[in-house]
Amino acid sequence: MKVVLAGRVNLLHTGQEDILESTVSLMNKLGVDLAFIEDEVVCMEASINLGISDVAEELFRDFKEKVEALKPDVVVSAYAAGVAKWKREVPERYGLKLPVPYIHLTEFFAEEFNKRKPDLKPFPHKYFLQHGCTLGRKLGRYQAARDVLSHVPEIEVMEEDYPTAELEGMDPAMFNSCPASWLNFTLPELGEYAKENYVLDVLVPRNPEFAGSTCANGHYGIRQGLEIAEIESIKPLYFTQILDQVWR
Amino acid sequence: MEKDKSIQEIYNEYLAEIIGDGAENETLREAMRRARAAYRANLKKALETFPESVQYKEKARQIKEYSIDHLEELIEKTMEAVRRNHGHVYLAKTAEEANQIISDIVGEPKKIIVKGKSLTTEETELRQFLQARGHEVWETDLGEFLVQVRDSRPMHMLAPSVDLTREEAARLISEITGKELPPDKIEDLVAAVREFLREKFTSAHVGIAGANAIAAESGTLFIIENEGNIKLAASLPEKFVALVGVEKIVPTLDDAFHMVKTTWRFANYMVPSYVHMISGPSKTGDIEKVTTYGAHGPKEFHLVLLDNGRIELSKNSDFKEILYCMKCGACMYECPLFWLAAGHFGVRYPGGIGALWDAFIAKGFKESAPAVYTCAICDRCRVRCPLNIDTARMIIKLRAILYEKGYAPEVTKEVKTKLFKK
Repeated sequence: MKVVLAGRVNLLHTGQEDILESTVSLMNKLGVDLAFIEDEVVCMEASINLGISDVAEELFRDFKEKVEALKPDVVVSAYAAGVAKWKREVPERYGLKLPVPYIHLTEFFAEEFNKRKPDLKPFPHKYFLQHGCTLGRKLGRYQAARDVLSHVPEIEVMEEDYPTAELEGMDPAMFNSCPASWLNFTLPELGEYAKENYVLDVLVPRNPEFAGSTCANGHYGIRQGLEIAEIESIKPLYFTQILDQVWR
Repeated sequence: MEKDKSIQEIYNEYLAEIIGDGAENETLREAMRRARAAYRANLKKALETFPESVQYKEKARQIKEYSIDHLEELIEKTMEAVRRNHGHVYLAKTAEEANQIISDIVGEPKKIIVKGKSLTTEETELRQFLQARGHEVWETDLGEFLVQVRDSRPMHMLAPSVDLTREEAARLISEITGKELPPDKIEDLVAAVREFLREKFTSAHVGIAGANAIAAESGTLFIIENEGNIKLAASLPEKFVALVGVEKIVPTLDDAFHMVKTTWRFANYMVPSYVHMISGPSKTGDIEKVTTYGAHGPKEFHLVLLDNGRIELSKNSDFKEILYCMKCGACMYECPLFWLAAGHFGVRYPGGIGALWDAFIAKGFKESAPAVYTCAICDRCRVRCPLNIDTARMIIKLRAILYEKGYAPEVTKEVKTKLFKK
């Protein structure tokens, strides 16, 4: 199977090499033929969310052509924005469609792990899972992250609860708090406080050992928030890092 | 004449406030934590007690969709109904026009005016307008009273003093009443304000309030409250004036009741203490069945309907959803930026939906741009909103307009040159 991993440059740009390395390592362990987009534009999907519409179409068209040239079976990303934009907004606004599915890493690994059922080492730790706002709330794709982590023995996955979710017939993930990562692109000086507040209000009271978001952008917010709040007892850890560590 | 501020000056002032008065204010953050916890606990209790409330949402959305699509027709019907009820009715095109109409109704010389909490009067800055004409105007909702005393602006759509702790409230109430009031007994603080305002109610010439819904078929205002201040403001003075945005109009009495019960339930009330239905001046027919206006309640009933851009917005398919907002304030308790800064996130209307109201209704694109770019587009407000209003979608669309006009933050402008290069 040939997989294009989109968002590699974003991960490097934001200093999240650990996500990239663990993802590549896992892909290799799964025997996947992995490819990257040449000259990938950083945060292309942000163009729409920020209102920079004059360059958006060209960027998306360029991305599509590069994907077509690589002839993959699937495009995957640690970021949710690409999955969301190519699902609806890009086809609707620009009439552009990718030739293959574009899915999130949680979905890709959930499918692979469900098929292969690998024998993993235990991870006896408390892990707080934040469902990325776009992936969880907007796209309703939160089950894959739970599925893939359910393969890890002894992990204690903690999620945010919401007191009326059940009464309202909704998954609590729909109410997940936001680490405010998008403010990096708009008002970063304010974003620092928002990320710190997320850590102090959501993570610290739950006291996990590790925390991570399904979306690499949300994960970046958590990572920054922990640094700003100077919380050392909770470590940022992306789910691919856990899977890579526990692979036998 | 004041020089137009540059967009950079607007951003600088906004950031100074939202960070200085908001993000760096530990008291505010603590007040927001308490408010959020109380909101969630109260909502849970309300939904457990009245589980059918969850079903209100879909019908409420349908009523709003219909009403906004038929806005001009419903305005006409409302005006006809109010006239039929012997009330006076006006359609003000702008905030200035609305204030002037109300100023004319109030008349001269100096009058005492008691006001109920109303975001629409905040939009037009009615209290300040009337005070500038020499009238004595009192906000009578406790939260709004505190806003007036500390000369600030509402920090939440329903709970204007949500950012205050009891300690700060005690300090302000002690200051205005001249009594030394400790913060530990909230009931004593409430009693002190009650005593202070009681004399204002009994001597007031005019009562002013907003409304949560209007039934077009009967011209009936529905007003939710808990404190009883609107009961007094709408009953004791000789004149009662309601200033209401036209988006509050729905076709029928049943529709209006559905909207108000959805509002109060998701504003986290089991049931409010009062829901007033007001259709005109007080009247009696007890002598020979001759209807005579001006019994125990006000002799004059005035309804000022405010357009201020709403009618045009109702025709804008990308943004008309803004007008579905019932101002229940539920979304704000779940907004990551509101947690941090309360109403400092916003200019006139608070929060993400407030940024849209500011942009299209209250303040214009330029002044509201920083609030539009404050939204984290996390979409949690939509999930919490009983009307499922997609604020993040509209914020993203509006950003495209603001970016074109040069109103984006510098960081955002730099994204294009720094990141979007091959």
